[in-house]
Amino acid sequence: MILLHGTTRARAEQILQRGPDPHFLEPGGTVGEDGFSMTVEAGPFLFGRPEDYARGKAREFPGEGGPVILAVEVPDDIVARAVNDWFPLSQGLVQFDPGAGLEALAAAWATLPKEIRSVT
Amino acid sequence: MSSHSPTPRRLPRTFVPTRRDVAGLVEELLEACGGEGLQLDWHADRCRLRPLGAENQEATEVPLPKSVFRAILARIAALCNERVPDSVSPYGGEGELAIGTDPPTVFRVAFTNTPGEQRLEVRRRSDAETERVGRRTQLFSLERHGDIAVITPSPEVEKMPESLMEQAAQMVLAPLSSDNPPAGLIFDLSRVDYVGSEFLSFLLRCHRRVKEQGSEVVMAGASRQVRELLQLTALDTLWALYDTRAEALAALTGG
Repeated sequence: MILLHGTTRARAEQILQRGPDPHFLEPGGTVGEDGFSMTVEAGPFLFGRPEDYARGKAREFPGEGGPVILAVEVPDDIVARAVNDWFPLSQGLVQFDPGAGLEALAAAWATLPKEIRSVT
Repeated sequence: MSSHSPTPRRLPRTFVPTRRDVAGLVEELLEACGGEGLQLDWHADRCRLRPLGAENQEATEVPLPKSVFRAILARIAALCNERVPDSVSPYGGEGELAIGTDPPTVFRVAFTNTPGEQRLEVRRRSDAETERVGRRTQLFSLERHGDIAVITPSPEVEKMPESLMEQAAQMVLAPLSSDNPPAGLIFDLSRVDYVGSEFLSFLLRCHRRVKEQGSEVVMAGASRQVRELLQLTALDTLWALYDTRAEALAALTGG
């Protein structure tokens, strides 16, 4: 299924090349703890739309090329590893944490179809 | 929302993972807020809960993954943004939540989300502030008739200052930018005798936003003065004018 991650262009390009990096320090994050969150393309968007996240990060980091969305087609079996009672798929948020799908996502990353979409 | 203070036993139970997910947890958390509100902070895989306005209640701690805490912040930020679009980010800042309608109980929500600190404070606003917000949200009523939405401004909008126009446009249109936007929007002006340039500016802002969704905008029930103003400004060429809301509804639905 297609999953989305709203961020800045500089970060999206870095993630596109290297895959999700659990050691990358996001705003509000601490090294090695944060995992990687994505939203299901079809929604629902109970936690905000990826466009909103992209715009929010672009506002915080104005020198990073503006808002974009990283879209990745992730196999269902990898998504399933991130599903648990807190994060069922019906909620529209897929939280890849260490031990909950993040390693599998990182391992498959190079082979996954993905693109960067502009946000107007 | 209940008006009693949360009990120390009830709050930790809220955090037991069940099939209700993070969104369900937030719903229960807001119900449990009661009293003056609630403060949450996260540290080392534990979430500390402290009811506000209850001097004799100590903070309690529950184990909680960081990703769940961050999702709580994101969900509450999304609820604040449903009320006023783009008003807050889960990375920091302050937003506002209103629970209930008659009258709404308004909570100020403060987010702190830095490498060193993750905290959320949901604090009940004073009655005066709640009343002010309640008045602001009652400037317009919004009804849905199938594919058609009807916005009825109250007479209060005649005195609405320019500084509130953008916020008002966002608040009025927020429910319309959902996954099911209306095919048509009727402004029922029957309760307004006269409007100024500020209100026309507000209508144009709404028009732009609604047109982006491909929806049709029409006016109904305009007084003679309002009609003249729309004609003077040539806005009657932009919006069809109908004498009554029923006529506008019939025109938009083909009835």
